[in-house]
Amino acid sequence: MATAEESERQIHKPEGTRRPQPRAGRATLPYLYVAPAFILLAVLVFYPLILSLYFSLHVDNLLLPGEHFFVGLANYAAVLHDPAFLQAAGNTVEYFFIASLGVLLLGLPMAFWFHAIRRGRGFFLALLMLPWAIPGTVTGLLWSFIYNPVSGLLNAMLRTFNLIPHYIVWLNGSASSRLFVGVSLLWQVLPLTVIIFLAGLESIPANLYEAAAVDGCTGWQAVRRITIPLLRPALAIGLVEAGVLGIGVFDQIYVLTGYAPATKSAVIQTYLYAFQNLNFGQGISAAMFVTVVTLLVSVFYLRVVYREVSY
Amino acid sequence: MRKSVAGRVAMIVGGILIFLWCAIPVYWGLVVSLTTPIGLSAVPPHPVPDPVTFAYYRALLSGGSGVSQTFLHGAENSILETLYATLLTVVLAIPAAYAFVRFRFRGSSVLFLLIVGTLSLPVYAVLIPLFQLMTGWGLTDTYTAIAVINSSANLPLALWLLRSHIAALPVDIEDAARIDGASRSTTVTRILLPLIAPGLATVAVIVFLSSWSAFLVPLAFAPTIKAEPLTVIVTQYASKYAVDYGLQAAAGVLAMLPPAVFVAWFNRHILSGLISGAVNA
Repeated sequence: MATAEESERQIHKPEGTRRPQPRAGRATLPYLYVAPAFILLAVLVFYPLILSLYFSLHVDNLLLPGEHFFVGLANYAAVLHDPAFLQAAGNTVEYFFIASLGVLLLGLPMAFWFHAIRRGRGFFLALLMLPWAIPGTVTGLLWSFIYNPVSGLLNAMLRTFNLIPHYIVWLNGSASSRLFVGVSLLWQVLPLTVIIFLAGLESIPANLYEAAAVDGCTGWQAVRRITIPLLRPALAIGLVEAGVLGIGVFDQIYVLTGYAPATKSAVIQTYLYAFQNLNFGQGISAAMFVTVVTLLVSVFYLRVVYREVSY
Repeated sequence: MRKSVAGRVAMIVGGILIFLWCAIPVYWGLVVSLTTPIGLSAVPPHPVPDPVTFAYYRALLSGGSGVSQTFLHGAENSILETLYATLLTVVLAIPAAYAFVRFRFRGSSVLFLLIVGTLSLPVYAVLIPLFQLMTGWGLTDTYTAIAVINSSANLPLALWLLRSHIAALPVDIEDAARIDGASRSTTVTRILLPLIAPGLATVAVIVFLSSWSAFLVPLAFAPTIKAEPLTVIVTQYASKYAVDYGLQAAAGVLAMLPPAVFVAWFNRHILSGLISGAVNA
């Protein structure tokens, strides 16, 4: 086994180009430094992940004590044939699209606005980050006060301007409830994506626009030919964040509509499997399924939208 | 830059819309928390509380009633669980980040990928097996369970951020200290830590905010008030028969107070940390 010193010599680069180089030290020292962090993750992430795989292939139900046997993919099949899960998964697809579209249609213009503003930037950036920092359950509460059919702000405002004939029960268990729940989700998702887009915008060198202007390319054309292509990495990362948060939504829904079928998300259904039905096998299978979909979506965005850019 | 009238108008309108979008839900929560029960049943509701009442805040913070004891206990749980999680994350991330920057060792890149790869793993992926493990270890309803899980969820991001802060430091400073006879650990604690203090603060604030907001983990692991944080407590003011909106709102406002203060004070650091955290996706 190579010691730290030996590997240091092997990768030695000429002066000038060198990154911070490894120092001479006992070969075990770096392992000692990394070990505590690694052990924590091994116990609380890697081991449970392996257990997940194991349990998802076994019957494990607190209501059937003593019953524990291998069932292959039966848990997955049961979950994928369960109308409750399919409903929750369908809802979640909608949340995913609300978050993704919202980020593009609202987040992108907001990022352009922040890019252009000169005065009051610090104040507005702090205001922007407020919804990100507020806990999800509190976000749910805040929006419940807006949607409340009797004392809510939304009915009051629309009624004052005579835009609705009578008070409306917004979270009424119909398909439109998902849109209103989705808005509260978007409220929390937007800040992070806006600052990712903003960082992307600010990394585009100004002289590109100057050169384009000399060639007669300005305004919308410059946005389409320069900004959007160069913004692709930021767009990809922002969409990944929105997708991950949209698919994983739990807190706001728990507060706004609880376990109601029309609005529950896939993660809510996972929670129900495990902690209400006490069927850990199905709960784990559902969770694994959602996790895999999340990872696939992330990979898709990063491969299709992300393009390494050089100036 | 754009100086046209239309451009200016667009900027002003955009500013107003962004302001309203971000501020209205928070403002309205404040209004509800300060409106009397009679005012809350008014149709249409008042845009400004009149008269202003602090009764809900008093009910939560006085310490006398059962409601208040629950709330204060929840606040204590929130603060301690969040502090433990933050402290543990930072203490574990510093040496690991240091090792990944300053040493080349066998398996370092694999270890690094394994650790940072968990960034893309949502917490619900391992929630149920973790529940079984924690139950087996007798750790449900304890600060330990919630703090270590929140810490494990934030460790990869903390490590990633600290690594770039340490990598930005010239190694010569450490060399000088070592030539003067300082040991490796002295070098880290006396020379390195003060130099990366701003980065450390950024990481601590981000981990703090993330742990403070955690809900799914305490919901599963803290079945009683023994370890329930505020994020769980604020969902409990709706009884079977009635919802006390004023109390709900006041509890919500108090629960978002620490995050709001952090955003107001450390926003610049939070933003830089989030951006460098995001680009590693």
